[in-house]
Amino acid sequence: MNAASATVFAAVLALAAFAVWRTLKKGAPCECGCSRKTCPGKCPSCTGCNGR
Amino acid sequence: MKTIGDMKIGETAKVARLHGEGAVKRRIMDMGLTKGAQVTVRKVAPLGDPIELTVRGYELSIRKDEAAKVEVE
Amino acid sequence: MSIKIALAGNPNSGKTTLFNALTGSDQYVGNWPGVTVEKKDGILQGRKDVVIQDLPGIYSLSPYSLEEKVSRRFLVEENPDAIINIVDGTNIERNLYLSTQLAELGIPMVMAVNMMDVVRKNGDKIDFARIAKALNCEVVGISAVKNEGGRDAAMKAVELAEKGAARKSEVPHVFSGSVEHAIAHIEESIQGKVRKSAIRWYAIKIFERDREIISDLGIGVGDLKHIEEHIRDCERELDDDAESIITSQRYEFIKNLMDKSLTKSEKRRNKATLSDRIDKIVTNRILALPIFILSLCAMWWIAVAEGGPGTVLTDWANDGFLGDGWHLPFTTHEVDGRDYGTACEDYAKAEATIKAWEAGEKTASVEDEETGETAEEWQVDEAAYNAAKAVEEPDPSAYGVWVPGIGALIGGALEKMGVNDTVASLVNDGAWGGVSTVLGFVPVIFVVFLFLSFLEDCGYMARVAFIMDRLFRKFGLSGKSFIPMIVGKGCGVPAVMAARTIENKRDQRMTIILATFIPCGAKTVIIAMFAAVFFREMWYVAPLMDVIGIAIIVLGGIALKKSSAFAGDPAPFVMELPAYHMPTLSGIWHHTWNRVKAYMLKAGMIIFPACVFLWFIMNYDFHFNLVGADGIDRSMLATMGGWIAWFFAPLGFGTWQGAAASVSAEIAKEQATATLGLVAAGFDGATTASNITALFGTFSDYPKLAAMSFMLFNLFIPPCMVAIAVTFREMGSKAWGWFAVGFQLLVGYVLAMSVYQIGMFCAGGSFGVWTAVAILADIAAAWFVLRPARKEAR
Repeated sequence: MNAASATVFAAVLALAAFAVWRTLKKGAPCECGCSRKTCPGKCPSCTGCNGR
Repeated sequence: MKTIGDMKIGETAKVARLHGEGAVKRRIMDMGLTKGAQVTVRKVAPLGDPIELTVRGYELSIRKDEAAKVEVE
Repeated sequence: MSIKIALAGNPNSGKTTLFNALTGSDQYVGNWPGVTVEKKDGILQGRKDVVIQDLPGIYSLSPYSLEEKVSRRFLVEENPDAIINIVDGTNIERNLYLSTQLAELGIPMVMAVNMMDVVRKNGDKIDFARIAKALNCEVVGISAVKNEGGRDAAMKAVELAEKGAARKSEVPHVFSGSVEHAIAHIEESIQGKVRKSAIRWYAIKIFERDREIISDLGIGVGDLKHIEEHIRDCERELDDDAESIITSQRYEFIKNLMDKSLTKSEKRRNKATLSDRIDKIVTNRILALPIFILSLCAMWWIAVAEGGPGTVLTDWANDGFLGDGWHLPFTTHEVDGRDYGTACEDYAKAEATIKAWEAGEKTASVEDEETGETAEEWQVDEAAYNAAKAVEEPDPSAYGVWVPGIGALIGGALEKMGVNDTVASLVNDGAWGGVSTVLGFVPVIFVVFLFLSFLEDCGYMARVAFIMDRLFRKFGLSGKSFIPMIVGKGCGVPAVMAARTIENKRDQRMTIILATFIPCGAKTVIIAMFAAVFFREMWYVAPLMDVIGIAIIVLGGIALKKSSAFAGDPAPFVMELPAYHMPTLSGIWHHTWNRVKAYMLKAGMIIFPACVFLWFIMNYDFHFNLVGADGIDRSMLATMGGWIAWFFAPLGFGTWQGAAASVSAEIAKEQATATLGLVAAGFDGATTASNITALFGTFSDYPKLAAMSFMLFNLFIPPCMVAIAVTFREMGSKAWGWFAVGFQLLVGYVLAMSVYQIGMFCAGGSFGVWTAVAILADIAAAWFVLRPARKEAR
């Protein structure tokens, strides 16, 4: 594997690892549509924005 | 005994007495359907139930069987 | 020393808007201990020492609902330093009902009368001073949505809190003589048992025979008898029960106060408001349901109909913007009498001719991209071969302004860098291939979310619950259960959580189980892909999925209600119907954009790593040898998929690819589309669509049927992992969680199986074991729905 390939390969793995880490830490992005700035981004805590 | 359930669309009446008991009755009263309150029947849902009322300046929706427990005059 | 301020008010009074304005992003969201009621507090902006505690929206401090219990416990036990009572100025009578109760707690209070902009526009006038005097609190006018006065109200509350106990000790006296007399007696008997400033509130609750308070205070039997006598006296005198007396007299007090403080504008009294006129049509007995279904269809038509805006944008996104590239509109022209499309076709034919001649065959053919069938066939001879060799690949930039797609750019960059084929494949086919498939559907998602946001923001959804109530009650739920289903069109997680508003535990459980049958945003992507690939001419397939979802909810509800675990009287449906209001453009835009943003973020955070992982197990075998696209059947994914493929056989896609796609969908439903794109790439067609068509051709002799079955299965089985986790949490017990999952899996499986098996029978006439199983399963399902209901055990 040449230098370019190795770099790209490492970059992809690093990005993927980052994505997994962020999801584990912050939870899945919440598609509940909250307009409040603090929809915590962690789906399980998002309450469905009943109080919109 | 005439109840909200007997009222026609557009009709206004005054609440005389609430029958029944428990949490639902309390809820209805909390929402403003108390003795002496003016209530107007606004509309009825497509299948006849629930009923939309205007009470104390806003719209409230209750079921026909709950409406039948509110006596009016 | 931090100052604690409670924010209390009715639902729909604008409390959340005010809370957000006061605390900005400095909020913490969690749960009240032991219950599934949301607890929200935040720091007042600019005052790090002031904590604002948002209480759930409540109509009263009665002991019946969870929200009320939690709120009053906070107010009474944690004794905040001040209360901000937010009141809807356009609905002030009912809002004051709570205010009178809050005022009795003996906590310094500021009443913020909200929606003053609407009040002023209507021409009404409210006498704040009089209300302030009557209720012994400060009263100010605000407009939270216009950001007027909210901060002043909060600062006033802080002022009151800082002044501390220098509180005017007189709590408003709201009741008639004999009731006040009884209350006074009760106050005597509980002297010393409770905080002095709240003694009146407690006394009134005891008068109402509030069981929670009475047991909490541990009042002696003798005292209770004495108190009971006083209460009975009042009841006899006023010919009503204690609770009713209190509520009635509160409202009488309020009515008198309002007669003096509220002046309604003359002109408004006689005009039917715009809200009424809209309502007349939309909740009309006959038109309501059709209008609802029509709006769904309109949404879907715009999103996925062939030739409609949604498909045009999606095709452009998938093949152009994210793929190979596209021409700027209005810049295309012909070269040598042909346009770019025709030139490409000619080139494809030339390539086919070359391939055929070099393989020694007599005829060449090209396939139709979408159907996979042969479009043209012709003879080849040496002359044709030589002519074909001379045909050059058309250069798109010669036909107009060509913008290379992101896929082409990435591929080109990798080539220039000299990256080897394997790593290039990882990026082009694996990572970008998967992510671009999902991102390509943003136009569809956008349309769906736009509609959803509009309908929610204008207040239509509450009305729909009203319309649906009777229908829902026929199978034992209330219209209130419908709201989570609307929320579910966006995402299943808040839908399951929205079931919290249902007081009845059984109904709540049922709603949780059924809420995710409405296709969510991610499932919409699956619908969009299959509509585009297999059902292009049949745009009604898309709304049909929504209709099926609703049907499952109705029929499933009926079936569940008949079992003893769920049987019981339907929950009461007492619900406020807020007025329609024209949603603000910025409001709709924000709600829509937030969702679309989340969707795209999901593509990067979840779809992307999933596709990288899939690429690995798709290109390597268990010994970590590279097998590539040609050897894909030896890959880890193919092997593992093969272990469970049998499970999907009766459904028409019993292959490792079908298995892999379905399982991967549990990470996020839209992953199914990405996975399909990945595993089908080996067919090397012109577009992902033709690849997938070819793929399903290998699943079954009736690929469209298999596609329908696949779609139904993935739409109507348990939702993605996150939603399942929330289901377990909201159910509160593992047993119920498993029941929900099991029920959903059964429904999805039987539905897909029935459609495929019976479809196959109708199309080809083959009647096999599974056809029989499908029919039996359907009969069993029908029995569950149609059997006589069991009486609830009392």
